[in-house]
Amino acid sequence: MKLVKTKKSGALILGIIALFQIFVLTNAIPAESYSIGEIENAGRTASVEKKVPKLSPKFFSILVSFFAIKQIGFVSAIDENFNCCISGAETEDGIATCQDITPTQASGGECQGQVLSSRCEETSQCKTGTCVVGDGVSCSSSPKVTCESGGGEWVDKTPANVPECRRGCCIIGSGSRFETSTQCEIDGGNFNAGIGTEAACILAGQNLLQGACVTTGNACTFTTGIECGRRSGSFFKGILCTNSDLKENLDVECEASTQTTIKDDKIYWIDSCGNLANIYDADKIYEKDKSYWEIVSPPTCKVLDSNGNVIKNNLGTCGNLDRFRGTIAVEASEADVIPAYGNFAGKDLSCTYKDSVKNIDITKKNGEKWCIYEGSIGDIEGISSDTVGSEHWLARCENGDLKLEHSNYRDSVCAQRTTVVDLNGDGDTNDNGEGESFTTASLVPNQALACPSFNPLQDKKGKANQANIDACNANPHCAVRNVDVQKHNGKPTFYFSVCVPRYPTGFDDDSAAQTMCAAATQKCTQIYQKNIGSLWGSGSSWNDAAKINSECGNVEFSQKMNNLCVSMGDCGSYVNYEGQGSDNAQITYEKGGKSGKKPEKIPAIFSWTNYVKYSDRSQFANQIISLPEPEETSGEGDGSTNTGSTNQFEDIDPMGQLNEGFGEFLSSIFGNNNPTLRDINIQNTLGIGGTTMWGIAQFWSGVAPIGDSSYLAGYQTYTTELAANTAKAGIVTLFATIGAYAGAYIAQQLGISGGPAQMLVLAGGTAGGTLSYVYIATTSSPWALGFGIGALVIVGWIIISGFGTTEKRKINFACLPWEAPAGTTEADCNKCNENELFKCTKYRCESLGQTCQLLNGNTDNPICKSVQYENVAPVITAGSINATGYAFADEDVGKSVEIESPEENGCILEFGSVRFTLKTDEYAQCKWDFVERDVYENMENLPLEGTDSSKNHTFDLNGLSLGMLNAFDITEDVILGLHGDGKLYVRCSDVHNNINPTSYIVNFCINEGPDTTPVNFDSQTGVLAIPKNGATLPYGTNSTPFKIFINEPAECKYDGKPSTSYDLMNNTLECSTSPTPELLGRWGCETPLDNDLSLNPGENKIYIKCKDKPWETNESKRNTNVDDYLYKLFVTEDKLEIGSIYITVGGSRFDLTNNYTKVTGGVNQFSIDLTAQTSGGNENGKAECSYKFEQSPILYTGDRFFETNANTHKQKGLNLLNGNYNISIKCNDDFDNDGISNVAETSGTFNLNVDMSPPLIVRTYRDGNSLKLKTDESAKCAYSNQPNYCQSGSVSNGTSMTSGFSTDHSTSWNPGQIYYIKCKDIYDRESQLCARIIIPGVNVE
Amino acid sequence: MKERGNLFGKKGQVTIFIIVAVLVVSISVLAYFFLPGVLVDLGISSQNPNEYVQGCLEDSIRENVKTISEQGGSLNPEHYVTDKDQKIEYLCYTDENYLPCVMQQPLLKQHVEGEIENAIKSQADSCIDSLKETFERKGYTASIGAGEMKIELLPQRIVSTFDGQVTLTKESSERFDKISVVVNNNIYELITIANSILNWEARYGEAETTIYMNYYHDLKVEKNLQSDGTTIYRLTNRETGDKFQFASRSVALPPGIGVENA
Repeated sequence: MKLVKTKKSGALILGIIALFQIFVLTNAIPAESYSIGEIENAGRTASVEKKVPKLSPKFFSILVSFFAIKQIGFVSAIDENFNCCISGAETEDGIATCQDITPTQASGGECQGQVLSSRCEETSQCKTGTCVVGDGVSCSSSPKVTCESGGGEWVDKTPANVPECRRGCCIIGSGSRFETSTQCEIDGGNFNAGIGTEAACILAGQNLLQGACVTTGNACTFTTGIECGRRSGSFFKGILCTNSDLKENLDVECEASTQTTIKDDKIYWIDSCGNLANIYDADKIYEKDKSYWEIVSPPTCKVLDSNGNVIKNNLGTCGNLDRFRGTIAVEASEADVIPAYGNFAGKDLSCTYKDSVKNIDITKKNGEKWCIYEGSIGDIEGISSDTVGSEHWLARCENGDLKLEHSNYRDSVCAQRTTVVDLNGDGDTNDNGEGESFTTASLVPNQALACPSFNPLQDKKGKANQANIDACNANPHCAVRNVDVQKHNGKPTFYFSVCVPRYPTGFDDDSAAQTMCAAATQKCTQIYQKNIGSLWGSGSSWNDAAKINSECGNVEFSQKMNNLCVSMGDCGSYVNYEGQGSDNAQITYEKGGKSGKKPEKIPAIFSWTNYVKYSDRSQFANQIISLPEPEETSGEGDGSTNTGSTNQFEDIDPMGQLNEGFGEFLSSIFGNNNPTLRDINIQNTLGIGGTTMWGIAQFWSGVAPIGDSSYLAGYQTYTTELAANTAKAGIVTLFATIGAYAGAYIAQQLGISGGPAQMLVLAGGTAGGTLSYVYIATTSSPWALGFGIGALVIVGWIIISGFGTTEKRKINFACLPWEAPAGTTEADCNKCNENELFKCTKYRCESLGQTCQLLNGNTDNPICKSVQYENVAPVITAGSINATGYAFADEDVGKSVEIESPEENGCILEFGSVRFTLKTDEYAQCKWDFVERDVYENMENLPLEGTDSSKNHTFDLNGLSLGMLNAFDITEDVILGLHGDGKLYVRCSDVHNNINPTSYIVNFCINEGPDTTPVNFDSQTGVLAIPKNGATLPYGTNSTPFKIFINEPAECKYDGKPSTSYDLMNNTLECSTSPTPELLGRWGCETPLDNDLSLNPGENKIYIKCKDKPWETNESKRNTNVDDYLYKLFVTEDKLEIGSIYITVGGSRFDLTNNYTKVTGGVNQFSIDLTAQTSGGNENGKAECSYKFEQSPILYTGDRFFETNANTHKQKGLNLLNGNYNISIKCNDDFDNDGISNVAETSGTFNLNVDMSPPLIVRTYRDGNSLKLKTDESAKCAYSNQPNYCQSGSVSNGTSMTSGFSTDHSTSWNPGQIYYIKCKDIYDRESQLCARIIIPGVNVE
Repeated sequence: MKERGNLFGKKGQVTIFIIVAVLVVSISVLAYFFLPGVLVDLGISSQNPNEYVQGCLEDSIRENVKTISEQGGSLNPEHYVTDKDQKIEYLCYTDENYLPCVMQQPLLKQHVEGEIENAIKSQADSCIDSLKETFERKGYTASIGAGEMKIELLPQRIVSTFDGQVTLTKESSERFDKISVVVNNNIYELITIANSILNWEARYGEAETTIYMNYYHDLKVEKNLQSDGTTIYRLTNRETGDKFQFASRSVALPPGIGVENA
């Protein structure tokens, strides 16, 4: 028995080992098989093979992460590791509270306070809630820490949800305020919580009951009862001061009048005492309706009809105006209305414009703002649909004028909100006339560029990254875009999600467009496989359809990819706002490896024509982006969100898919005759390895089941037989496994995958198992041999035929920047100009066509024009003349024209003014001159439109005299001194720089007329002079350049004495006498004021006279100034000086010199105040000063003194490190900003050596019966024997070891005591704990 | 000529000196009692300590309130944007782009009150001290209890209250439990609007401000958007000219994305 037991035990151990081997081997096979099967999964998801180029600008770094869909492991913004700086976060502008900072910033000391390891919004201290102050005196959104540190009570709710913060109407005296009940109580008002809006509260305040208040002397005032009480008067509620009873009983003498006044934007009658009466109604004058002057009566007249439209005829007769509904009381002249009585009338403030889509007039109330879009916006049908060139427009009605603002390349989006105004404040806005809608809107920054930061939306295994998806959905300007092209048996294969802009922006930068669009470039990898046909020797027959991602060959692929592409921005095949577009995507393919075949189907580009509807405003007229409610709701954006994918990849069972292929394969071989292999459920349950072994086991069990007694004959005991059989089974299984491995290896090496690969594994395993069985079996097994050979044949055939070999073929979708349509005409571009509502911008213009270009973009008159290249110069023709009686004559188109005046001889009057226009047949810039110039560039004068491109060019002919023309040979034909001909030469340049080769000539003649007026120095807007008249020059100035501008060419002189005749003046000014003025229609005269008339400190006077017509030889015809023109200059009498500079440290003043003043101290925390004092200059030392660090231990920059523009200049709070400093100071007194000033400079140095350390004990020793210490600086030391002295004691309450301050300290040596020692230096710097603890005999011998 | 010369004899000179002396004394007395500046400086313009302190402190309050109002509620802004050489405190701020700002000064009214208190403290102390001296010079026994000057912003006014008890005794005794200085100013209203704007900024970003002007016609709200994403708000009472301006940086665009001036 013992032996048996031993045998049993050995067999059991052997069996366990064999089973373990089986377990290991059988599980190794499926693992390897799985890895082979994984080859098929290569095409399961989009493979992003196009890497986004590395971009250096920070701006584009955010884009890099855009398409980090799976394989590209970019860091998303929301994963970024921010810390929260609770207080004292350093920003560019100072210190802020609760700011997210990076760990690098935190470790770099950029947070002066506590740093928490989470983002601020995720910390309890910086979470935003409501800060309630004084039970609701005020409420504001606030981080907890900021609120509580200020003494507020923080509540984790929005203000609208905190009862104490709810506002109502507080009636205070004769007015009202919309505030909390607590604040109302403080303000001494009556709180009405039922009035829930600010507008209603204002109205309620206006409607306070008023009445006649009769005070001493029978004076009557129309006011509120509260106010009357304050005046100690008798109050008659609802009674007017013109009331007949008051007159009879109280001798009040206020009479009705026909005068009016304005109150609360309405017009009221006033009585003879100046009191308000009822609302002005022309039909209620006293003579017509006496009762209207008795008591307070509601108005019966109206300026609005039942539809809320203004009745314009009533604006002069009815004062019942309402600014909330678009009418306001103003001076009659401003309203342009003649009132029936008084001086005031109503003005209509509403705006009306034509909605071209709805073809109706839309009227908006004054102050309303609303959004207008140019087509579809936002997320529509899986596309971010804003069309190219479209902007978001913010319209507002401003006192009757419609004004429009717009985004710029959609860098902002327009969001609006419509509320119903409760007009009577009863909380009911539904009753007729009680409530009207009011719209407000805003252009808010488009957060499109933030959307990429939320990617990737899946991890590398394809599992949804829910945090990122939620963050993307939470941003109202982002959308989750799912690209789901391929499904395989209901499960997605070509599938991914991306966070994209909901309102994509346009691009004004090519590189930005390239980068952004390229992010949507994708590659779909299809997997093809050799099919079963090769079994029968029919050659390499490949499946027609890809096993994986076959649908990438369909148009659905190009459509969905283009939708994604368009969502990036202005990319892909899409349309502009006029419904014209272009295809800007590219689909290419890559052939397969061994077969060299291209994908079976290549989809066509999804054409832009499919998107035309998105430009049709009428289809999307009701789209809006919601502006969040200010208080009441927490709604964000338009709320339209896409839930994205959360479990798409969780549903995929890779093993299941592989088994499916395996099942197909088995079916193809064995048909349905083998029920065990047909049972897909079992396969799916066991997986490939399990299935394999299960199949083998079945096989074995069918042939020679383990434990069969006949099979195990010869063994003496059951256990022995079991062990032997188990060992045999293990050997067979081992070889089966080796065979399976060999099959797997071959499959891997030959690129065979899927079912054929598994077939190789199975055949290899079968061959290994059966042949090894044949070898070890005690009986012959021809069937087993047959199976083994058959399996080997299958292996050989698969290897030879290549069955199951796979290859990849790729379809590439390239997303390209959108290009404007080609072949555009002038009419196409002109659509930008024709839009009555929307201003043409560069973006809108250039989106219309390749040739469209915006001219005069920086002016109020931009023009979109087709600028297809041509080389023809603009043709100039005559336009019109804006002068009565003048006309063009004798035009030779493109060459010349003549101006004829109504004068008998057709000439322009001398010094007359003629404004005329010339036209060009295309947009051009023009120049002109009185003489022919060889090239356009040499022409000096511009028409009135300046450098704007235009088809109409305006010229002024004025200030011309025959003499001037003659003098400069401008006249060609002087006729007996009566008149002369002149020519004005014009050339124009078009946008391609085509210029008229010869000038267009405008012929004119000028009558001679006597010019009897001398130079008028002050003819236009004052005298122009440099330096200006009355300027103050710096101290020490004795000369200066001087220039003065006069209104006509002349010769001028000056003198230091007044009333010197022109001829006797000795000093001459150099004057311009050319026919064209130098500056603003003026001619300049200049000279240096130096030797001839040097300047002196104080006031300098210069007297100037001119003689005009310098070309005139007959002196009697020239006009000379009789009166001097007095020009004054002041020279500063005292030098501006910086008298002293000093710094103040801890209350001590240190004057700075250039000898490094030593600044020492011992304070713990200190800051330095820098002060400079100035004197002299032109304002008695008043100057503006700045300082700069010329030398400092670390780089500091300078700044203007914080306190300056005075005699003393102070910069407080310089926080400096110890070291040498050199500070330079510069001051000037240019307070009129004319660039002329006194300047003073100086510098000072100092050495800062502030002791910030307590004294250190550097030596301790015993000297006889004394314990002695030495400190590193003069100090006072004391000790105690109490241990708590270190924590709570100080030198002042210890036993002194020092007399005065010294570096030597001593006390008696006492071995039985412990000395707790503290020291402090002369600056009272004392170590926080003990400087030393001495145990005699232990640490000091 | 000789007789004329007698006019400038010794007696005449004495007479002239006397006349000059009388004139000097008279002018001094007149100036003492009637020149307002002199009176205020000397602190005897009134028998009422309230009026005295009002006269002494009012200008200081006005000047400091103006400075504080234009600097975002702080006398010495620590976190500010500079606009036209003026420091304007950020009342709501985030350093990041696209994110709403974090309120920096949720207790704005209280903060402003504190800032005004600090700004006028030395002047207030000086006024109280001189109040005592002044009345003592006039023969009063002045007793001023310990107290502090507190500032309270109220609708249309600023009330500065010294809560120390003042007792003046001459022939009879008069006690003032507190001394108040009232300055007309609309900073209370402006801070209320500022708070509302800031709440919006902290939750959504750039605030919509026309609505405030629609509601309050005497209010002007100006927005000045800076290139770094900062918005400077300037609130002005059109009637009184009182101003309150502050800065906010909320939902800012990164540099270079494009800024439209409001």
